[in-house]
Amino acid sequence: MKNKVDYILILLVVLIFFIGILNIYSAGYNFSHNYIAKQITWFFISILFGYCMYLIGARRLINMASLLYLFSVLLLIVVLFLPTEGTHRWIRLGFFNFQPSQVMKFSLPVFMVAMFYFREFHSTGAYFLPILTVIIPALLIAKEPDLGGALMLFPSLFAFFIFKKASLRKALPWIIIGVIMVPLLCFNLEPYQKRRLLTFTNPNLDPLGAGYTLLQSKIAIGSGRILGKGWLKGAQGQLRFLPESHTDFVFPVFAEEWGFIGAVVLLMLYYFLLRRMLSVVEEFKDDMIGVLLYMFLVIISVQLVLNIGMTMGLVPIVGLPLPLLSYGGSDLIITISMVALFFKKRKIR
Amino acid sequence: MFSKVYKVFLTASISLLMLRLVNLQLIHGSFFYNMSVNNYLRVLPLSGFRGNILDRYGQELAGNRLSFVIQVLPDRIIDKNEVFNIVAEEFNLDVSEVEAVYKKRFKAPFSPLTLVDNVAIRKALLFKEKYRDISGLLVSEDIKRYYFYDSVASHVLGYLGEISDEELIELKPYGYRYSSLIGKSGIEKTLEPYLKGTDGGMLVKVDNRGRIIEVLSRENPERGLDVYLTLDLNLQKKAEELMSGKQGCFLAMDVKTAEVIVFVSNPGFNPNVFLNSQDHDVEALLNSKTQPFFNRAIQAEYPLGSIFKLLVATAGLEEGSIAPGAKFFCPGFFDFKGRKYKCWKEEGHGWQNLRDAVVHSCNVYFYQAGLKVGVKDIVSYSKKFGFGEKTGIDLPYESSGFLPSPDWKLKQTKEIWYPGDTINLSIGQGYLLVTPVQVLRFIAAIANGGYMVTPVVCKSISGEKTYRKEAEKLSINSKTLNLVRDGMRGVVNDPTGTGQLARVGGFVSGKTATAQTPLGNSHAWFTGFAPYKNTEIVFLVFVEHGGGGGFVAARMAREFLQYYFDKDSEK
Repeated sequence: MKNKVDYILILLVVLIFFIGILNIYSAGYNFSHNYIAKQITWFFISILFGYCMYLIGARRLINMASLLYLFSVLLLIVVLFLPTEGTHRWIRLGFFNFQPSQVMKFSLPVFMVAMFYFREFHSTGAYFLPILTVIIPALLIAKEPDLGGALMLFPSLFAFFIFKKASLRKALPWIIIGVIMVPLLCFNLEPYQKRRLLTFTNPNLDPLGAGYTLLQSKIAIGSGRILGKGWLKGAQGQLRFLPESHTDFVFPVFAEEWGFIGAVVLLMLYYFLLRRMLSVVEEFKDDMIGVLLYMFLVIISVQLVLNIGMTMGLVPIVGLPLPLLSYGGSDLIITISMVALFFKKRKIR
Repeated sequence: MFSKVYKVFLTASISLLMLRLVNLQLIHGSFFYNMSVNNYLRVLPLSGFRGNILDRYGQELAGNRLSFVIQVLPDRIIDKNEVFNIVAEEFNLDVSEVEAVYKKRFKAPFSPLTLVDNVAIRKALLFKEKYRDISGLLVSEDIKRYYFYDSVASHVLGYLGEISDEELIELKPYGYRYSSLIGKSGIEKTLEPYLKGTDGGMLVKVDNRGRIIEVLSRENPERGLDVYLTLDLNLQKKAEELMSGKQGCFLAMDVKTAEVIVFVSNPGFNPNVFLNSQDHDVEALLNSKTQPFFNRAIQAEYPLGSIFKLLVATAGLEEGSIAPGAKFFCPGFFDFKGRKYKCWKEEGHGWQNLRDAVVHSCNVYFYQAGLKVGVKDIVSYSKKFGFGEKTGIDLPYESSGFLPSPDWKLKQTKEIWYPGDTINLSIGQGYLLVTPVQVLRFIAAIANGGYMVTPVVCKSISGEKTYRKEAEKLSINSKTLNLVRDGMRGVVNDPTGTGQLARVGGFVSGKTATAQTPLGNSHAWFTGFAPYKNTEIVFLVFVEHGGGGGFVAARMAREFLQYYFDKDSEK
């Protein structure tokens, strides 16, 4: 029996992160903020977390699922009561600030596997509890308000049902309820969130806020043309036309400077990474660990597609970072913790 | 199955993204490229101005004023020196000064930067006409917060400042931007969400000189809500006049509604200073030794002195530990276990009952009364009357003062609470620290029949009454309160009372205090209520290092009350 580490997977992660560093450097090039040093620090902290996850392993994580889930829910409740004059998204520890919604993104799949892996989905009622375990934290996160963070809990749910080959017909009533609930929830959105959603359908509604961002984002991407303007030479990102160029909108900065070729290479790297991760899942397919890894894989993929899609006007703008590429500690730590569980190849018997 | 679903999803999404890239970068690439090179699209913010702040009768205290500013668009400037020279010459500035402002305020090449503030309309129009062909030079409208009476009521109004990075992270979703103005203290801070307007803006096309050639879209800004304060501007001005040159505070409040009619903390500051660009004025204020930003009425913690005797009296009467008629002899000092505690009157007051002792502020009576009442009851009644905790007034940064107790002392100093500590506490000295607004609330409770109120300075927001915490009725016998009130009447109206200088037509009641401080002259307190029957207001005068409370503070109270009642009779 031998433990093998998947070095190609590690290499891909490091490579994409390295591209991210170059790109964040460029996005922050003209400003005093020292994003790079911070991001590299975050990376090392992430590796520490990742290594811990690797050592703990998926099996043991599943064994402590209830604790993990309760702790995450507690954090989400605590953050709502912390005094702040604005949004309730962060828990500030002074030396370290983090978003509890990210912690939940990680622990929710673990909990679902532990609780519902052996459940059979032969009746409509069987779907209720899994849905409830997602809805509760999602509502708490939406209350912060953080729409993107709340949305990112749902991929786990779908991934879980797909893996379990749940019957679509039996789930239909729930889907209908969900569709009816959406407009109701919309009434409870913050004005700026409503505006962002409306702007997606008609960008002229809000030329100064989200519409402006989208327009500048498209200008940045488009103006990269085939070969790009070159590193540190992208006007949109450099001159601060583009808001959030180091966080949610890193992709336009990259596409402007590296052009179509660069953007395609980046997408291919992500594609290889995700396919590599899928092959790990396939090895585990009949196992609890398989479901968990599959859910993690879907989460990372959906976030990737939504982020890049929103910068190009394919999906509404919701605040979501690009996995491994955006500046920011919480998301990096969680993403690397998830990916670390894929590193251990199945023991060869 | 799951693997197939995922492969389909991944391949489809990545292909879709790539197709979109083809569309944006290959098919429309040159279109977007031109857009990025010329960048003829600009966003010009239109700020939504803040709501006005008015006094209780609708007199404007803070509003907005239109002014003009001279701005430049950095990336449209052809000859920097020429632009700087023109501005320097027209506004009598040094070229180096203009350059320094430019450097300091430069944010991005495409964002307009203000070189000169507060330009009069005539000058602005002439300037615009004269230099319309200079590339990159703009004359823009600017609407600014303006405080009509400079430093009047500055500690209630507060001031505005640029949003901090920390604040911005949390407030971004609510329409704040980098360098947005935000309330930093006073009502401007507590009611920020109401006062703040909603910013709008225009998306415009500019030509190569930075002039607007087409407005592509426009979103109108919205004005914030008007806030009516409980202050009475006339009385406020009178009180500020009386306080001028002194450090301390002057408060007056409606005894029933707890609406604060006068709120002076002196020295104040001129909030307009923060909105004009001269930084050295702000620095001078910040570095001033008199601490003008320190809200003495709610932030400062002082020793209270003899006013606290009213609390000891209340506690003693209520618990039956002192009888109103019982007398103590005052020879000018109180000998307790070999230590002499002095009365303020060296020759002594002679035999004193409770009323006499209040009227004469006799220390020796209260040393003994305090020992009889006991520290336990003094502390519990202090708590009842709100000492040691915030009053909950709707202004930021309130302090809670400090109420000592035997438990605290044991924990803090590892020493037990001695009877000597009780003796000191009985006359409001020792460890006890209070904020002036706490004292005002205590006196209000005595005057209004035992209701603990929450003082407010905001009357209504755009016509709607704000939420008020309901007054809490203390279970204090009305006989007790009447005895204390009667004593306070004597302080001002008896021939031997310590507060005679505050006498106005026989219906003012009050209590003096001269609080000793470790350094410098004593603090002068005078507080009370009027009229005696159908009481309308409670007031408090406090002068840091003002000497005897019966002199300077009482005199100021009289002048104010005279003005208050004269004005009343005019109506």
